[in-house]
Amino acid sequence: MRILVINNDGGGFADYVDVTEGTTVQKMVSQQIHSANPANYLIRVNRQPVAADQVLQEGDRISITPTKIEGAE
Amino acid sequence: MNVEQRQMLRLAAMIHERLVACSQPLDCLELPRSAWSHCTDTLRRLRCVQQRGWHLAAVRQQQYLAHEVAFLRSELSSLAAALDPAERNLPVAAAADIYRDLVSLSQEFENVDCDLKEKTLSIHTEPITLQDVELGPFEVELDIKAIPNHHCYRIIALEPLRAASNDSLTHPHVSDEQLCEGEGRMSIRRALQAGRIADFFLIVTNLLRTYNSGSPTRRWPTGLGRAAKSAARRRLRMTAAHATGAATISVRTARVRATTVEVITAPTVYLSAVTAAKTSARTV
Repeated sequence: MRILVINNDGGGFADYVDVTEGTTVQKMVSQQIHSANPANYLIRVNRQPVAADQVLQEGDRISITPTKIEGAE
Repeated sequence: MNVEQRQMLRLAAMIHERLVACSQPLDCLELPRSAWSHCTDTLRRLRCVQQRGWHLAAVRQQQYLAHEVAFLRSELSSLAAALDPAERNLPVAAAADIYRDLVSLSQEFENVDCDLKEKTLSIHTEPITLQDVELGPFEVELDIKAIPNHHCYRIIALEPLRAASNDSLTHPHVSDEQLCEGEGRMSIRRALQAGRIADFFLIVTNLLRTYNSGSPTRRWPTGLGRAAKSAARRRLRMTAAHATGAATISVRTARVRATTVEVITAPTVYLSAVTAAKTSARTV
């Protein structure tokens, strides 16, 4: 099934991604941020806060935004 | 649909119209001159302290240089990615999607204000504290007319605590109401180009909430805010006046100057010291 993934980490990434049925939010996030700590990211599905074990549906929009972003002097 | 929702709908249409009209992402490309300038300045300082034999300062400057070089490298990587032809045709969100983003802002932030006449949209952050320095809340004001240009938004300190070294600094990463975006630069650009307005505000506020160890918050009063420090000194004098007599007044004054910050965290330590001074004065 197809979902929209918006990863605001680093340079930013927003595109449709094919995922298998039954993929949870936690699994999707882990695939996006790899070894980084999920607690350092703000996760929204369809612009709402969700539980990590929520199963993604066709057409869902998941956004991943780091909570720690360093500015410049 | 209530009045607020209608306003958001109109604003969403304005934003969509603006983005469609400005679908030239190459206009947003800039060489990382500022990052390069920071590297050359830091390298110059490093050479200067090395020549003078200031080893500890040299270690510190070397750390700063490593940080600046890493940032320059990330800026160059972002620029290379932006030059990719695939990046030039970023899809713009539909007006309906932009509207949903605007509605979601009220769930993320307490104060969301839209001014249809001025064509601005703003949110307020909570009071921000970095390394025990209370900077107060900030307003992030987005100028719809200027999206997605580099200076289409400004950061306004609502209860400014200005840096001692520069009156225009109200936050380590904000100067003259302009945010030094650092690591957030490309994601802010892409969020604005794509019309992901909620993402834009989230990235900017998270940036304001994050302390960058390479940026000198030493420009601000350290430890406590200025007002809190003055209040602490007043409390100390009152406490000392109750605890000691006139014979130890010189000791009391010296203690206040020397241990203001320590007493805030350990008032019993100070009171013990005052008691000891009083005892020794009696003995004399």
